[in-house]
Amino acid sequence: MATKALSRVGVELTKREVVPVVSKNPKEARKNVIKIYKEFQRYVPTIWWEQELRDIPLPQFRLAIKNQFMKNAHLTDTRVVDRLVEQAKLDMVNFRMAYYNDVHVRNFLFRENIDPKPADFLSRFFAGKD
Amino acid sequence: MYRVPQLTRLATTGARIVTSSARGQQTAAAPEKIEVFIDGKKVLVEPGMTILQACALVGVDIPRFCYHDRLSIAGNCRMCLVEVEKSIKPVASCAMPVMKGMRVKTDSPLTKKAREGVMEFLLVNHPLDCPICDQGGECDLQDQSMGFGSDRGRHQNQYDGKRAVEDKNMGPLVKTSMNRCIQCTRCIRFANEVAGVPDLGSTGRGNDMQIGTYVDKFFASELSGNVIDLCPVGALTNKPYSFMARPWETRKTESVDVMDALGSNIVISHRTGEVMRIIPRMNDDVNEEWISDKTRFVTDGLKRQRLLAPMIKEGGQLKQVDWEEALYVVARKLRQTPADQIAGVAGGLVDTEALVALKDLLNRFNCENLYTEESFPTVNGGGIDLRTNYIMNDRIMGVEDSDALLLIGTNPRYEAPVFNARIRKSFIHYNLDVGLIGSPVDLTYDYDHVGTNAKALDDLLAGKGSFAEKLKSAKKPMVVVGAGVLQGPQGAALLAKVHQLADQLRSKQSDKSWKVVNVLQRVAGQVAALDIGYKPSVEALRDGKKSIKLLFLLGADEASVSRRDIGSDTFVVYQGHHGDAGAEIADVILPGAAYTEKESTYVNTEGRSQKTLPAVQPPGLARVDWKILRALSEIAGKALPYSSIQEMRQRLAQVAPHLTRYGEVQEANYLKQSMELTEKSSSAVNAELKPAQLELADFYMTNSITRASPTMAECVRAARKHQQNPHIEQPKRHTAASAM
Repeated sequence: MATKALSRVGVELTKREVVPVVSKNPKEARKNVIKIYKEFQRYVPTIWWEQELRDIPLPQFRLAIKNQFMKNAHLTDTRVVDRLVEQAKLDMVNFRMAYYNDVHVRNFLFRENIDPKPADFLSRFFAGKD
Repeated sequence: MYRVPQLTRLATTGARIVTSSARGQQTAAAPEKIEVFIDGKKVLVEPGMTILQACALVGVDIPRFCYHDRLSIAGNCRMCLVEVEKSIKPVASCAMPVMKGMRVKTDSPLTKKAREGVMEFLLVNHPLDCPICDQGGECDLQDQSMGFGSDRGRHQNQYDGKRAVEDKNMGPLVKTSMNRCIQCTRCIRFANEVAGVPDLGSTGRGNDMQIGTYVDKFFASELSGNVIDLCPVGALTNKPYSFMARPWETRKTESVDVMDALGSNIVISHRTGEVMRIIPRMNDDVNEEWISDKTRFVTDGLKRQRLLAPMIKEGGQLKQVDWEEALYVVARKLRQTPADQIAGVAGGLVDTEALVALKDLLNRFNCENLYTEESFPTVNGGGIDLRTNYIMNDRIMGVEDSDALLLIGTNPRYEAPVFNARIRKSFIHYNLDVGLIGSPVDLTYDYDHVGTNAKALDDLLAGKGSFAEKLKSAKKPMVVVGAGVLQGPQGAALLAKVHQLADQLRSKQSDKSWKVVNVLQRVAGQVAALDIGYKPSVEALRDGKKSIKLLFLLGADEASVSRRDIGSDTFVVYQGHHGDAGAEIADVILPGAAYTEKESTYVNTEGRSQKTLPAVQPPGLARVDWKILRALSEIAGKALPYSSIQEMRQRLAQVAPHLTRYGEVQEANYLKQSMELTEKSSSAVNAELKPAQLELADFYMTNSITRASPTMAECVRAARKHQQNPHIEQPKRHTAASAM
C-alpha cells in the first residue's frame, strides 16, 4: 500500500508543470513587455533631459532603449520574460528616483562604444593601466 | 668622553644585558629572577629592571613622557607615578628598580590622583593651541590628558597667566614652538647620547627652565630629525612638513630608504597622491628607530626636477614624445647596433628588478657590457665573484657584539649615519675600541687615529702601535672599509691588505662565523647589482678601448660617463626619475619611478634584501622601471618572459634566491677561497684615504633626489654658515688621550 502511494506521489512530482509566477501564458507576458516598453518610451524625454544626455539625439536615444528590448526578442520562456520585465520595472524605479547617473546610462545603453580593457602587457603599459 | 659604567648599565638596559652578554667570556649565569606583583598579578622579572618595564611584561602600559626605551632614564616628568605598597608616596616607575615581593598598583585611586595632578601641572603652562599644532592627532599630551587627566583644572588664565618661552631657531629642519615644551628632556638626551652632538641643553630652573641650544645656532647633526619623533608634544616639529597634513588624513606605506646603503626602514605618509613626509619604522637589526635627516627630509626632492614624459633629442633639443615613439626609436637602435658596441650603466638608486630586466634585455642581444657607476676592485680575492668581498659580513648588529672596530677610509657619520649611531652606542655602553685609518673626522666618539695613509695598515699587520695591540687582543674585532676608498686603481691592493689584516685577526678567533672583514657600501643598489653580476666601474667605457655606439644609462646620475668619454656619435638612452647628469647627455629619455613609487627590492650593505612598496603613482607618463625595459624588449622583438611583478620576482629568485627572501640576511661563504685568491704582498699601499664626505655640508646632497631637494640645499647652506658661527667650537680632533 505504502509503496504504491509513494510511487504515485513520485509520478505526480515529475509530471508537474512549472507554473509561471506572473504571467499565465506567453500572450500575457508579451502584453507586460509592451506595457513596460511603452512606459519607458514615454519617460525617455525626461531621462534624456534630466540626466544631461542631450548630446545624444533623442531619436537615437529612443532607438537605444528599443535595442535593449529587441536584443531579447528571441526569448520564448515566459518565466525568463517575466523576470526581464521585472528588471525593467526596477530600472524604471531607479530612473524615477534618480539612482542612476548619466555615466551608468551611457554604460549600459552604449556598451559597444566603451573601449575594451587592455589585455596584453604592451597595451597595458601604453595605457598606463598596470 | 663619558662612557656609561657597567653598574648603571644594568639598571638602564636591564632587558638588553641578557642578550648582549653573550660576547666573549663575560657570559655569566643568568641572575635569579625575582618575583613582583603588578595589580595582584605575579610576574618574574630580571633584577635591575624598572617597575615600568616589569609592568610592560604583563601588558600594563604606564603613561609616560620623559621615559624612552632607547634613551637614559631622566625621571623628571612624573607621569609614570604608581602606588607601591608600604611606600608612603607614589613612586616614579620609570626610574625605580623592582624589589623582591614588591606590590605595585597601577590602577589604584592614589595612582589615578597622582596622574591627574601631574597632568594638571603640565597643562597649567601648556598653550591651548591644539587646533593649530602640528602634533595634533599624534600628541602624547593630548592622548594622555584625555586618558588620565581631570575634566577641569584650577588654572585661571586671567589671574595666573601662562608661561611664555621664546621660540628657538634650530635650522631649516626642526621647527620649535617652545611654549608647548613640557621639559621631558628627551631631545637633550637624544642629542647627547645618540647623536653625540651636545648642542641641546636646559637653562634656568623651575618655571624659568628652558630647552634650547644655549646660543642661537643650528642644531648641527645628521640625525637631528629624530628629535621630532621623540618630542611627545608639539614643541619640536618637522619644519618642511609644517601645516601640511594631519596624521589621520594620511595613508601610510611601509617601505625602505635608499639614501644610503643601510636600507633604513621607513613609513611613507602620503595624501592625495603626494608624499607628505617620511618617518622611521622600527627594525632593531637595521636602524633601531632612527633615520638620518637625508632619509626624512628628502621628500620635496621627489617632486622637483622629475622626468614626466619620454623625450627624444631633435636638433640638440629634447622634444616630448609618446611612449610608442620613444620605445620604437630605442628598440631600433638596439636591433641595429652590434652587440659589442652596446653598454648599460646602472646608477646607485636602481632597484633589483630593473637591474635584472636590463641585464636580461642586453643579454638577449648578446651584450655583456653591464656596469655599475660605483666602482669596486675585481681582481683580488675572487673579486666580486665571492660575496664575502663586498658585503658587511658581520652585519650592522655585529658592532654591538664587537669589542674593537677599525674603520678604514670611511666616515660612517655621513656615509651611514644610523650605523654611526650604532657604533656610538656600542662605544658608550659596551666599551668598543675604535680606530680610524683615513682623514681625521669628527665621528662623535673617541677613536685612535692610526694614520691617514693606507701605509698604516702595514703597521697594524706588523703589530706596531697601541691600536694593533687592542685589535690583537679583541675577542671579536671588526674591520670596516668604506667603498669610497676602494674606487680607483689602488682599490684592489688596498682591499687585499684589508683581507690580509682580517685573516690575521681571524686566525686567533674561536668563533668561525665571525668574518672580521666588512665593506660599507655607499649606495643602495650596489650589493644587488654585484649579486646579479654587473661589473663594477665604468673604466672600461672611459679608456676608449671599447667603441660604444649605444649607451643605456639606468639611473646613472653621477656623471661617471661624459660625452667626452664616449664621443658625440654614441646614442645615449637615459632611463631614470630625475633630470640630472644622466638626462643631460641623453638622446632619448625614458621617465622611470622613484623608490616611493614602485614595488621593488633593495639589498643593503649587509646583504639583507628588503622590499619597498609604492606609496604614490609615478608622476606624469613615468612608469615603473622594469616595465619600461619589459615593454622595450617586446618592441625590440625579444620579449622578456615576465609581465607581472610576481613573475618578475620568480625571475629574481632564479637569478639569486636570496633576493626574494625579504628581511633576511643571506650570509656569504667561501671566505677561505677568497683568502687563497688574495695576492698577499709585503709592499705597502701608498694611498691617502680620504672619504668624500668630511663635514656636515657634504652630507646632504649625494644623489639625484637630494640634489633636487630645496630643503637639502637649505641644509647645506645652513651647515656652511654654521662653520662660521663664532659660538661653535672647532670640530674636535679626538685622540686617545681625550678618552674617559
